Amino acid sequence: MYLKIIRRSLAKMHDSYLIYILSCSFAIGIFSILISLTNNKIMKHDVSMWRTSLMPIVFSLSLVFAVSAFIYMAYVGGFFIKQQRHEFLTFQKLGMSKITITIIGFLQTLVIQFLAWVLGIIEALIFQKFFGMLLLYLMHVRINFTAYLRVNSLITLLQIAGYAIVAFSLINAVRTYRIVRNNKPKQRKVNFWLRIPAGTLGIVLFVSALAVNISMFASFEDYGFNGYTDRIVIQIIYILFGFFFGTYLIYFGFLPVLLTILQKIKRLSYSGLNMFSFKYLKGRLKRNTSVLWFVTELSAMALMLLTVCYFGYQLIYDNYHSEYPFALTANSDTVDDVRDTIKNSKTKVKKEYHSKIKTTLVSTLDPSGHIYVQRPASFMSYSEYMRLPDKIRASNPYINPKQFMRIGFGNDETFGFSDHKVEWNVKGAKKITTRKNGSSFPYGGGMFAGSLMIVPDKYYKNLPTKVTDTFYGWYFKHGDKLSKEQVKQLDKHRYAYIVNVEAKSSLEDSTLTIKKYNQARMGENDYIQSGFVRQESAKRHLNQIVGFFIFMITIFSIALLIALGSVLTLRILLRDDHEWRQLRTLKKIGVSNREIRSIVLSENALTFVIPIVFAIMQAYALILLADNGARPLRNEFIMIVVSYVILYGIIGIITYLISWRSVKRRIN
Amino acid sequence: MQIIVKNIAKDYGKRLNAVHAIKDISLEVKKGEFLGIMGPSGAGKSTLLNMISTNERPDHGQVIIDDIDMTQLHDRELARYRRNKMGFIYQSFELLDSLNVKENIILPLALNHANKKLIESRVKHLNYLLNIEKLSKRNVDDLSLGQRQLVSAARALINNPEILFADEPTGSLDSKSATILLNYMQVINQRENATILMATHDAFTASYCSRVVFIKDGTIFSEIVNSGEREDFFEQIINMQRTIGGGSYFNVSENN
Repeated sequence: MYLKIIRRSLAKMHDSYLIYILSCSFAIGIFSILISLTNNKIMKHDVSMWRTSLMPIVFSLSLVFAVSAFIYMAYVGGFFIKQQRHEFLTFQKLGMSKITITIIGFLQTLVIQFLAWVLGIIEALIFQKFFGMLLLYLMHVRINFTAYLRVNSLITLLQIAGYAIVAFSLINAVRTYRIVRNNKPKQRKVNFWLRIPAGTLGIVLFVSALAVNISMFASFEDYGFNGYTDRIVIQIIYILFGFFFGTYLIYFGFLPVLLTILQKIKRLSYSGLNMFSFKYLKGRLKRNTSVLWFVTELSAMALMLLTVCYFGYQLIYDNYHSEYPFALTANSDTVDDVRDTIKNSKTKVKKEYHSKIKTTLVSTLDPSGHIYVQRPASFMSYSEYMRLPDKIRASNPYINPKQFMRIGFGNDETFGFSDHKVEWNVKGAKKITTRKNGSSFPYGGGMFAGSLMIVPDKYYKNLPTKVTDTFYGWYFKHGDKLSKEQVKQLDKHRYAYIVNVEAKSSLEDSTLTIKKYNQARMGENDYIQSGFVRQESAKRHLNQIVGFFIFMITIFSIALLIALGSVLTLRILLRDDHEWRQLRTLKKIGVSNREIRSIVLSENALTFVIPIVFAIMQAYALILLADNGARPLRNEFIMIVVSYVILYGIIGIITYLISWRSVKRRIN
Repeated sequence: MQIIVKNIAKDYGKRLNAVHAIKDISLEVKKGEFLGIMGPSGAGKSTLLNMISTNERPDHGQVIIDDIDMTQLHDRELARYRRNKMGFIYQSFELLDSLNVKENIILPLALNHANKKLIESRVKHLNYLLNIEKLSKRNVDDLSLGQRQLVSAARALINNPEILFADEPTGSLDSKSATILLNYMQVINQRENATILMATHDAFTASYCSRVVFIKDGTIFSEIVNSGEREDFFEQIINMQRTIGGGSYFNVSENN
């Protein structure tokens, strides 16, 4: 008897159960794969970064994933029990005891969860190799990945499965028991007059948050961003509060009131199916307010995170290209050894170049803009700079022979101060004032003790300093082919010499001297001059980190999209008995399939479009805050939104097709 | 003939579990006729009515209305035809509980994009006629079964249907309300020349018809025609019911 009831329930809602089982099994599969990757022998043995930094990240992320998946599975699993409310109450009326009905709820969930876990673990076993290969491919690690699941890990996984199945079944058993214990559903009828002020407050909160957001953005553009002041912190808290609660109140109050107003306008409501569809959609909206809100906020968060991650990825990549627009560099002290090493390896040199530089003392304002600091800085003449390969100069702005250009470390330029005014007091030379700022160091940032200034030839010639050097650079066809042993040999020349600054109150009295490198006797005012910089190792690390994060972000994004999509899909598919009856009645009184389909379409549109619109608005507004004009995030944001909307739209279309299919089957 | 039913059959269930609800029934209904369909429970009255009213498609046979084969019509055309020409009063009322009484009644006209004036005048007329004015703004859930049936009837009659299908229309009504509804049905049958097909097991209700077809086990058992005297006709119906239920045959009219 129990089995028959369970079988009937499974057959009756097979579309919805299938979606739930597939979503759960995907989550379980991904969790199992992440866990197995952390213990994978190949990864541990052959990828050095895996052992040192990536494995703990994977482990932490798999825990985050497990917690999220648990919440999702427990929450969505409750939909099915709620859906069978009438059926359970009928069993009770027919004389079935509360415990028996609770056992039915328990067993149903047990079967579903068992199927989901079996499928999930099978998925993990099948796809572990694929995911591992994908990860290694993205990390540019050319080794063969071997799927590996220790017996202990498998046993742990099965134990987790067992506990989870029992836990979810117990949760649903409690839900079933609460249905039969209370008998009557809690009537939470919210007065229409409460929705009007709530909706108005929602609009006020949302719009004011938007306004604060825009004014903050405008003030950043006008005055720049100078740290987190109290006012900014309060404004940001208000924006988050306004978006978060404003959206809920709009769903709770404004949208139902809007539909009620539409329904009261007879010209609109007395036309076609509007009278029914306005009320029907309002009913569905009221029932799904929390779900829609939840999906909106998570989507907004996902869009922001993806944009920030993508931005971070671009930042790292740009920095890398600025820092390493070459393959191997050396200075005059190390050039012979480096050249010999290259000759002894199988490396094919594509291009070799060199430049003379001068180093002297400069005094500049520190980032606070109040204190002058004295540091060494390098100078290169315009002619030398122009002789460099185009690729090196590509990322820097154009200058004419009379202009100065500062090439600085970092993030100053990336974060939007590329037109930042630079003022240098140069020892024994004219003060330099320029707005030209580059970020691509010829020979790499590591070769320069401070910033580099490209100066007109005349200025360079007249610059009084004793510290001069010549830098050498090489381009290779397919990276260098240095052996581990050769790299080890080269490492001896990592530090060429030290530039020591003896700062006095006046720049003209301060001195700059060259000392031999000695790690034990390094002082605060000592700046190291690198003997050589090799691109290959940085490139390898960069590729590994970037590949790893692309892998993790992709997996998390797809999982999030599947979770959000399936929640919405299930909310649409799982209709109450009286909702089904209404659609059937429409059919009986002469409404065509096409017209009923338009209701299903409107419902889908309402459920899918409204959250994504609100999510995009929120995410865009908050992204604007991080936007600083010079490196706008807008393009990244648009790209992410378009891809997200496409994937989200595909889920929406599939939901619509499944939903219409099940409605059609029930009404005909 | 306005309605011609040709050899229709309908089975429920599959293979060994199949139940033959309707077995090869043929029937003709003239325009303006008030036809009753009677029979014991499970005889197939509602199934027959549902197939003629195009709510269900027969497994075999044809239903021709106004020379149109309804079994061949596309869903959209069928929906349009049903909406424009037919009215339905269901045993289970089939009211939309998300709408209030007035909205339920005017829905067929709204579906036809009728103008607001016409909608208001029609609903006012029916409210007055069926004495349901006070219910106008109430929710369906707050109505008694009898009130629901009257609302269902008002909805069926609001667009002056050429053909009215009624499945046990008085089943939930008290005698006073039943008489009001039946009188009104008779009025629209006689004055508007509307064709009415009504499934009922109540002899009093059936006595309003001009002809009654008796169904037993999915086939037509017999039919009787109203000669004009309602009391005689009522007697004939009672006798036929007895016969179907296993009573004597001798009271059945010779017309049959």
